[in-house]
Amino acid sequence: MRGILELGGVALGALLSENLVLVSSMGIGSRVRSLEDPLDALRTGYCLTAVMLLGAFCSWCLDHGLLLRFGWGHYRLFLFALLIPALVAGLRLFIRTCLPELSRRMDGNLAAISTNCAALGSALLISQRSYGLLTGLVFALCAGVGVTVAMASFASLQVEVDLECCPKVFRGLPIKLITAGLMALALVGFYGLHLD
Amino acid sequence: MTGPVSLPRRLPPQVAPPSTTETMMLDVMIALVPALCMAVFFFGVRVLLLTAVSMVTCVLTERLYRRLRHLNDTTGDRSACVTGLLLAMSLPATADYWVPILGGVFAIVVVKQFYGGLGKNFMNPALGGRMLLATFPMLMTQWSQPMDWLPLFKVDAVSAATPMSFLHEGTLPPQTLGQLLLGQKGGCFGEVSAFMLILGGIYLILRRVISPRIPLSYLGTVAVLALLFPGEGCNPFLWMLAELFSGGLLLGAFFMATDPATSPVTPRGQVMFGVGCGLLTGLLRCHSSYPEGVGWAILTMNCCVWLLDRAGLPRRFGVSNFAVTRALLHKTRVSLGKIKFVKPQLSLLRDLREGRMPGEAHLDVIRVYAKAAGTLAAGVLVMLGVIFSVHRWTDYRIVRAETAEQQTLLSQVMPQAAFCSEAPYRANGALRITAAYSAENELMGYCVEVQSQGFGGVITMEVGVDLDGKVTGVAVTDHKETAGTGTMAMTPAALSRYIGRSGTLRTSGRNAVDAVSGATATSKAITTGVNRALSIVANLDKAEEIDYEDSET
Repeated sequence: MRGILELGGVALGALLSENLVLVSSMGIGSRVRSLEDPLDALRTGYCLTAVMLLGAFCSWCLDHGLLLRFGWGHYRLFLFALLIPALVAGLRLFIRTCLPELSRRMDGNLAAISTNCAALGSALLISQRSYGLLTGLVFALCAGVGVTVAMASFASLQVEVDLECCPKVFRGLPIKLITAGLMALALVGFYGLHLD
Repeated sequence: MTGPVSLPRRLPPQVAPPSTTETMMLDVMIALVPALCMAVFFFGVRVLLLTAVSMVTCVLTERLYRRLRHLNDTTGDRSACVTGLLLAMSLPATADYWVPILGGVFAIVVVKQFYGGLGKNFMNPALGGRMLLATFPMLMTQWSQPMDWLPLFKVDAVSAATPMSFLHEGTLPPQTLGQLLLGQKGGCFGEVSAFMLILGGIYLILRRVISPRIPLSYLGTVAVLALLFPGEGCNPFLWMLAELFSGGLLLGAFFMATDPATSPVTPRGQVMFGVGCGLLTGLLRCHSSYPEGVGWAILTMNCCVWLLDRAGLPRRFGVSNFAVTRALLHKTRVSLGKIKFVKPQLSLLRDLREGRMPGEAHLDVIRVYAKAAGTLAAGVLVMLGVIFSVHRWTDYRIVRAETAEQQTLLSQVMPQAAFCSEAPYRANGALRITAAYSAENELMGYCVEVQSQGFGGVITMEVGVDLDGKVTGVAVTDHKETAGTGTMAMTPAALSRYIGRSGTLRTSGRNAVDAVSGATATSKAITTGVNRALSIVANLDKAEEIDYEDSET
């Protein structure tokens, strides 16, 4: 029971109170189009979730199989930074050869997230907080879903809301940042969410 | 924006006056008047002055902004008045007069006018302003007692418990159901009178200003959640009523979540919006650091309106729901069906099988790959070498620094001990247990590193417990509390109050270390951590017996 509660706490935290995009400011480094077009944002989000899950699994195996066993913790940052882009490259290669239609739709999104902070950071967070494998996977999944929803709603706001109405000095990037700030304001209330 | 609809001076009796923004806003204000009257009855005339300040601020800000930007004046549509009224009604009656001014300016300028004014904003302005104020420490935590008429100026800082804080603790509030319903309780002054808010909501629904879908689905979800997960040992039905009638739920559900500009337009989208608000509210009320979660929940759902509208499948005329769903499923299936698995053909094997020798061109390809791989490998090797040498170089210093840090920590949590070493004990809830020894190599006690949930996250602390089961010192090693308020419970003076205590500590009553005012959640967390450390040390499986009087049972 306690384990389930802990898992739930980790999941909710990843989804809401430490939302990687809006609260921890990770995962914003994807291409501009996916911050403007909701469908593209959803696709990027799916890719990111898949990569984060894969990355969480591989980095956990690397961490516990190699780094912790031999006391090589100081190589962790460097090896993770190599591992995640390598995973994305491998995934792209696999999809290109085996699922050409999927590659046609998703390749741009996958390429854009190969050095995304969310993918790199979630692997590092899992190892820093010494989560178990299951907890780590749940964390990666929920963080990915949180990123997807946040990016999709941010992109949909760009479609729905007229960003040209503000004073001239705020047009362009500033009003987008203000919009993101307002969205983040809504998540302040989830600060310190816990289950016990 | 269309211009104001011109009305003939008199309408024939069988024709209803057209519904315009002005009439809708007037209806909202009329619906709020009874709740405001109850607030005046409970908290005094100060409430009216606060409301007036807030409304005037909103209207003036809007007029000034439109004037400065050379736009047409839109204050005539009364939406700024409604924003001001709602903002004021969600403030505590003890708030200073600058509070609604700040909130009103933020609401009108940033949340509303930056996006083009009424109908174009994506977030409810009043709620945006109010939630900005809620992020200020200490502003939204002071509540006055009802029937305790406040003076117009110079309000003393008071802090009465609201029903929400009882519910947050998992107990039923002491008020009777009638008091909850009529509003004799602490809280934001517009939110106390549940009965009047329900009356206002029914008025709005009857006048067709709002549709009942959002309020009903919102309140229904909260009610179901409350019935399913009542506080320990509470009657679920009473718990549900208390959840429904206290806090900002009714004001939020009837007046804020239903704002037409910031809620979905499709019926199914509206229901999903209400259910989403309800789920988030239930989650926040039980499990977050703030006792109330209505505002955060509605703001969060405001950001997802577009997605909900799409997910709500807007109906097309003459097409049934079933057909729309089936068409969507069919489209998805066709789209997914196009993705086919192609068996990979590994080029190396194929070439060998066909018995061809790779030619000169192939060597060129290989050379390019080899070059890239060689560069990468060289880079990786160099980096690994650099990391290795830096690690070797700093290895001893890191260990020495860690030891020194541990020694400083020891001098804080157990000043009489000289050194410590890892104890061979494991206990549930302890991150680390170290045994502390005096200079004569005598066991003095144990230092336990424990964690507990504070306001902003996990607080990690080291607690020293001597062999008599008394606390020798507490040190906070890691926390995420708000600087200035939460950290007030972590000053050396505040922490030194735990020294010499034993048994189960509380934050009030018998054997209490009083919570630091303004940092209640953090104080409670530290007390919980100290209790945990005391019980861990008492239950250690070892030769000596350590006293621990568990006065909880």
